[in-house]
Amino acid sequence: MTDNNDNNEELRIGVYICHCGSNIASTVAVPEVVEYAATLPNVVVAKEHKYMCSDPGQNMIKQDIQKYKLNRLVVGACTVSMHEPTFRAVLADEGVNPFFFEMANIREHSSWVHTHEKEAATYKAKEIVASAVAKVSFSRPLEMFEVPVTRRALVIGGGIAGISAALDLADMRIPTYLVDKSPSIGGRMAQLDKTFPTMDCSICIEAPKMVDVGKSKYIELLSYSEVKEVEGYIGNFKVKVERKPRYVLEDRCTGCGLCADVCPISVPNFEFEEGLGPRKAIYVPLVQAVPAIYTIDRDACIECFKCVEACGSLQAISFFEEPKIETLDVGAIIVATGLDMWDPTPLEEYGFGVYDNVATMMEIERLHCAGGPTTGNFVRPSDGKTPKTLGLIQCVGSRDKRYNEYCSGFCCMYTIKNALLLKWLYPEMDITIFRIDVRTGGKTYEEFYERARQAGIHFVQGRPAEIREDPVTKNLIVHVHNAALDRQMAYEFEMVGLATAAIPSAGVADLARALTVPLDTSGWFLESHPKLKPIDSSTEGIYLAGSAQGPKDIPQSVAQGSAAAGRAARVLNAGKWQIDPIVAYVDPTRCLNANPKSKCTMCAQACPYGAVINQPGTGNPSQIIPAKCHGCGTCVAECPANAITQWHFTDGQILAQIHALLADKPEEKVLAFTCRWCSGLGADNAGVSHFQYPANTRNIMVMCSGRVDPDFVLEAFKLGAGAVLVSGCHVQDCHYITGRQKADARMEKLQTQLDRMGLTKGRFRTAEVSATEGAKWARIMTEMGEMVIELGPEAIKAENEKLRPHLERQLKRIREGLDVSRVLDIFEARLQGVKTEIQQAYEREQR
Amino acid sequence: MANRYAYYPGCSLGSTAKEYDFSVRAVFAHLGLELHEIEDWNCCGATHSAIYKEDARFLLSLRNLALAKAQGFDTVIAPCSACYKNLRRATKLADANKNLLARVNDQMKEPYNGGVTVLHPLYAIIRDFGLEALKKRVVRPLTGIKIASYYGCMLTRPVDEFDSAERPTGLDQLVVALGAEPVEYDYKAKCCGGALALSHTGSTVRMAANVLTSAKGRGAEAITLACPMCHMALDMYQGKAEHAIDQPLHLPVLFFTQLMGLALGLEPTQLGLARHIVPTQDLVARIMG
Amino acid sequence: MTSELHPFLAEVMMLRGGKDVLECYQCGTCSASCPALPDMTHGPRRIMYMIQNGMEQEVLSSPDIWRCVSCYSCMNRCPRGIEITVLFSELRRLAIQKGYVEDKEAEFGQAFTVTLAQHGRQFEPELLTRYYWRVRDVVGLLGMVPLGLKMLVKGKLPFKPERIREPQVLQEAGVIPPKPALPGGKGLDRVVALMIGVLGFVDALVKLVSGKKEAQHG
Repeated sequence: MTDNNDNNEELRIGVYICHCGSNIASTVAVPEVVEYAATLPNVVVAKEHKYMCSDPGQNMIKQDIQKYKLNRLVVGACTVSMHEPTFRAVLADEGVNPFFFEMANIREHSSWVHTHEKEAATYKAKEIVASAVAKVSFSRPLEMFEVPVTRRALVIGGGIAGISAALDLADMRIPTYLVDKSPSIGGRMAQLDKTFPTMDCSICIEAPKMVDVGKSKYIELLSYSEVKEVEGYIGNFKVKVERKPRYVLEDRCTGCGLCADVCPISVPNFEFEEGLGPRKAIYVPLVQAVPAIYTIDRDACIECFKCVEACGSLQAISFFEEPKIETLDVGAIIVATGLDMWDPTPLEEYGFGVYDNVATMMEIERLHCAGGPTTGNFVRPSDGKTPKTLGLIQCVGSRDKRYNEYCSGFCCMYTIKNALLLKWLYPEMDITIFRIDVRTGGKTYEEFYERARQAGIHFVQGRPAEIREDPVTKNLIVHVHNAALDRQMAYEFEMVGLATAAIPSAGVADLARALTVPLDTSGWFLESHPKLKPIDSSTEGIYLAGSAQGPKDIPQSVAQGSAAAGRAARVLNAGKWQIDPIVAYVDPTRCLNANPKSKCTMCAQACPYGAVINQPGTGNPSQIIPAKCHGCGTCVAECPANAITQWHFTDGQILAQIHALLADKPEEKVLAFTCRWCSGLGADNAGVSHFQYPANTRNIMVMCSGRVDPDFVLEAFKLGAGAVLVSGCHVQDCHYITGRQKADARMEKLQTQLDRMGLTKGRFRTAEVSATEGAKWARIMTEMGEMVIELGPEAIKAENEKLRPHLERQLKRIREGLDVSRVLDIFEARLQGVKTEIQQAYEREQR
Repeated sequence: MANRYAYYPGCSLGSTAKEYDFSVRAVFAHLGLELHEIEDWNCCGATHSAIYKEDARFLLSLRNLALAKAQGFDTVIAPCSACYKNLRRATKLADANKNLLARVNDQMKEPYNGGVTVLHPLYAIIRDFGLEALKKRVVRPLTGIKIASYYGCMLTRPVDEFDSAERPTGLDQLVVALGAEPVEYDYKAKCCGGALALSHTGSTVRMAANVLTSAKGRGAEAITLACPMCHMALDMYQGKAEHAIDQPLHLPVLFFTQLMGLALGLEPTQLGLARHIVPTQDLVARIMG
Repeated sequence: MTSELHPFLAEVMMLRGGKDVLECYQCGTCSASCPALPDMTHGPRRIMYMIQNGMEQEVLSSPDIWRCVSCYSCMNRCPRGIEITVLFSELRRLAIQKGYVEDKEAEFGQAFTVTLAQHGRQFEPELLTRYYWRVRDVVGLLGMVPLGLKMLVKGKLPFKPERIREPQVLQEAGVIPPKPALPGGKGLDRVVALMIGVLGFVDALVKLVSGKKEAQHG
């Protein structure tokens, strides 16, 4: 790859600008951009199309590749996340190396965020295209790497989504580990009495599946275990799982239960019964537990050892068990961690935890379940009597900006379900549901709501403001504004149920960090694309199922479990998998370690993956193992000798982009370097959300903020930039573990340097923007864009002039990197040319 | 640290609620907490400050804070809930909105630059003196007297770190510390309607009657509270409330500092107990034994 | 996505507490919490809806904004985080500015602010004079007489205004509009001056008669 220098090849670039229906064309004057693109160096043809990604659009490009002998392609359209693979495939089909392609994002980065500034958006679109043309001009042909795939899967979470995924994988004879943090699988579904809208018995339909998991020879169940560390990449993950001590040996326990019979200690069963029923200190959380293995709760156990005696010759009880770490090798991971229910105590006006007869909906569920602590006798806590009146309140902690902003999705339906069930059990019970809206978006769900109304359940449109208890009767007074009556009402109930919000499972933040998969702002796992990749995480080889990704009901969870199994099997059954060759490469002639006296370990220290063979003192230059390299580029920026480069993101290519974006009126512009995963997606998110910000902003995307060399920033200021931003992830979310950390250290130093040079505060900034923080991205862009405008071009120019000698001194060595001098020569000559032209024009004018 | 506070009495404590002023000063002095009245303080504007101009709301509050700071204090005690809410919100806004602060400072002789905390005397006593210490100073425990704590609105809303906005406990804790029996009732943090006393007297009377009957219904023998406006509604308007609901209430309404004074052994004359519209003699006599 | 907002909605959104009015999804928590709802025409729930739909006339001329007791219950409970109480107080100013107002509380608020700006502190006799002059409510005034007398006896009404050193600072800062714009006019000012004079005289008289008594509280 290295030798294939394209110096001799004539560049023939085609530029294609997409209207995206009216998404781009209604703001950006596409014909103008096309006209401009045609004037860019080496551009042979420039065209537009209403939908470039459509078959006719792709065919037009394909025909042109043949007709004009194109060897480079730029498409001005949407984000790389969307259609980079599409157009790479177009090139591959026509026999051109797919890495000779660049996407110019003029939708998320221009038309959608500068909707009302048509001229400025068009100008920006032109420069984004110029930047892509500049970058593609210095592209190299790259080949995908092929890595072997370990044909084993890991499913994290044994609720109905995880069970469905594991069973489907097992059906495909893919060996699968199923890890659950609880002593039994089953998840939330096992706790439910009946399911809507069919009113099947929940455990009756789930238990057979749980048993299947236990029996399957392709599934290894690791219950009472937690994932602690994840290393590796698609096809080759190494996962460390902690097996918590049960103090009962799994291979000996038969689940006979004699131990629990003799155990003298009873404590509330919070694992399964919401604390409403008891369990022993040695327990299974539910009778249908899979595995049917007991666990000792050491916090409750008094160590009387009666259980040891009862167990007898089986000798299954071991008080000396310690936590164990097991390492699993898997090719794909499915995250199915499910949900918890929100604790409504902070919502003090509802008196949960203060008034006996205010219960959560999950408590209500257990109280009317035949398998529950009251064997289906629905009674209220204060006096053990069946309430004759029941009030059910929706949206408790959901759709609430103070707690959880989102709609939990299924509560309308499960509240109606509980109401209907109770109405069947106790026809005389008077039930009222307080709702803001009723959401029945699912097949036959609306009919279910209809049934509830037919059954005489009352619906009140109004969110109760407060609940008060009558101290004598322990009845509850619900104060609400009834919209239909337009009146304040006080309803008295013998019991009240709160439909609390669904929230992400406890501990997912730690898991997300281990997986380096981002969470959204509400704490759910973030999907790769909301429409087209709802099952994929942003890390290849890791998939999402069920409520891990957002609240879901049972059919949705099952569907996603199967879908995730399919996505994973696609990799696991492939045998080998191709990964992007955007890895780092050490130029052996420049590496300091070529000199045996050198002791340089910078690249090895920068690499979070141990991908560098670093042998200082031996005279062997450092080497990077491509299969281990994840392509963050942090070592590239760290190398003190400019000896490392990253394919597809070479110093030369990035400098070419900087020059292209700052060719015209640089002092009026904000140049932002973003990483690919957090800030890059965050900027896209701002676009998708149509958050508006000033149009004097320009982006350059690299894989990780760790790739950003301080020289890039200095070069930008040397060229006259108004302001520069380096934006990456929140440090704990780094897609490359420590890339952000390295970037931070480097940028802190740079900041001090720039401060010392006298750069105005705020002209250089760093930021942390996650993939979901589009609003934050827009805010930062607005602050910086407006700051540049406020300072004014003259002041900035003057300051840059003052900085220039310092910058030039700092940038003395920039040309040493691979390709860099070639790129800079070309651009500087061009710059010189422009200046000469201006000079000549000026002189002509004078004459 | 010696507890030295700037004291912002507010207008009501110089007129309709003089007994609150007397009792706050007496109790604080008795506990060794120094109060120094802010020189040249001005009215906070109650709920009407911004009726002509938005920034006036902050100007009226910030001027007092600036004076307190200039006179060497960093904590201001404001016994009226409305003043307390206004001054406290102003400190927070001054920290959060620098543009607004600069704009308002431009119009004041003495600018305010942050660094002042505003406390209500109730929470100052709970926080800085402590209820355990207070218990030890009680010489006339209010044993057996059922007292309904009334929080009203602006003492705990908008919510801050001192107490719950929905289920406040500060006054009840104090009542317990003084040896009395707290009364649980629904209206303890509901509005008395005092803000509309003159313009829409009917509203005030209705709301005050709700509070009074709710407390009475749960067996309260007296009400204690921490705001001159609430006191006006529940004490001065109690007669109108009785008239409106056509039933006698006879609930003496004492400022918490008056109750404290009695329990701590101060003389009733020091506490302005004769100034109430609803007579307090019987209750005072019971406490004095 | 800056679609064109109704001008009144846009105006309200610029007010303190107004920026989130479009967050309202009509759950009704505010109206359920409001202790003054029985005295209102619409209640906060409908007022929010009317603001969202640009119904300036209905919102600003409604008595509701003057019936708010500033209890902050709605604001404390609003699941959308809308600062309803703050917004209501801002709507009062807007209503005055646009000349919509016909409510006794509006008169009281203005009497209150004007009085405070004269002295820097409140002076109840002047406040009452200004208020009753403006509303010309003789029945209301007479209704207050028994309570007023009791208050007088209990020493709850002051005779002399307390003044800060430079009340004009407050006036210049715009706490009240400049003199010509003040409602009530010169007639009212003359009445107030007379009242202050009489009270001052009474005060001096009382002090002369029972000077020592006043020194002891209670």
